[in-house]
Amino acid sequence: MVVAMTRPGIRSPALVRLLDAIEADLLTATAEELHDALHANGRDPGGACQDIRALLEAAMQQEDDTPMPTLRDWPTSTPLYRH
Amino acid sequence: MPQDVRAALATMSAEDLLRLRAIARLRARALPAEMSWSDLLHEAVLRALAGTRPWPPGVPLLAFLAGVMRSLCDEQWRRRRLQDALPALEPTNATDDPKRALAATEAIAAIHRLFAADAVATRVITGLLSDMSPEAIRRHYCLTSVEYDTARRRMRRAMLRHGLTWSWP
Repeated sequence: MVVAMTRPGIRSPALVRLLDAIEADLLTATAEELHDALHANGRDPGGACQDIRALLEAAMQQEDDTPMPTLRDWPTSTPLYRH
Repeated sequence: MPQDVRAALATMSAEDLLRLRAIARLRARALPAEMSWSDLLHEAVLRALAGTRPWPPGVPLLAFLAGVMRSLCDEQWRRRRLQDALPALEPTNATDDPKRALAATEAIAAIHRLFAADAVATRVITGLLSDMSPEAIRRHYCLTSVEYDTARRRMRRAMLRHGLTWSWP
């Protein structure tokens, strides 16, 4: 059984450690590295930023509409921005 | 203050927006499968705006939002656990949740696949998973500082490539 082979007690903290380390790298990524990554994928930096700006604006709009979000229901009850 | 968060969000640099996207996609790897990186980022921003996660003075907004997303991942698994009515011996300990462990195993496998052709990066990843320090990883795998640092740069570039687009192996 797959679940039995995942060795609970080991994998989750290990993943968190790995993600923390990678996140630290991403936080310090240079502008050149960011643009290189987009260029390698044929993506326009402006378009990629626009996606994120739209997401942030959707969150700001939602916060305006509902000053006290129903945090307990995240994420299923709120109309979430989707890509 | 919520208004400070709003003003800072509105003036985030293009580079920080891209970093934020890459980090959200990275953190979403540790979420239940049906939840997306945009759900995660959306919720993090909502909480920052509402002030339910106060933005500490002196902390860059990007690092703050990254921290909120990190804690949201934990929270989501705790909530899932309650919904599943699984007994929690230690509420803050994720280690005895088989669903979370399975999701983590899949995420680790995906990261390993990304670097399957890069032996040094694979060693670094294995070391990081084992909670080894950079020095310990270098010693254990007989890597020079240059080899280690270069591998970390390759990892960062690869994670950026995959974090700024849709493709994950």
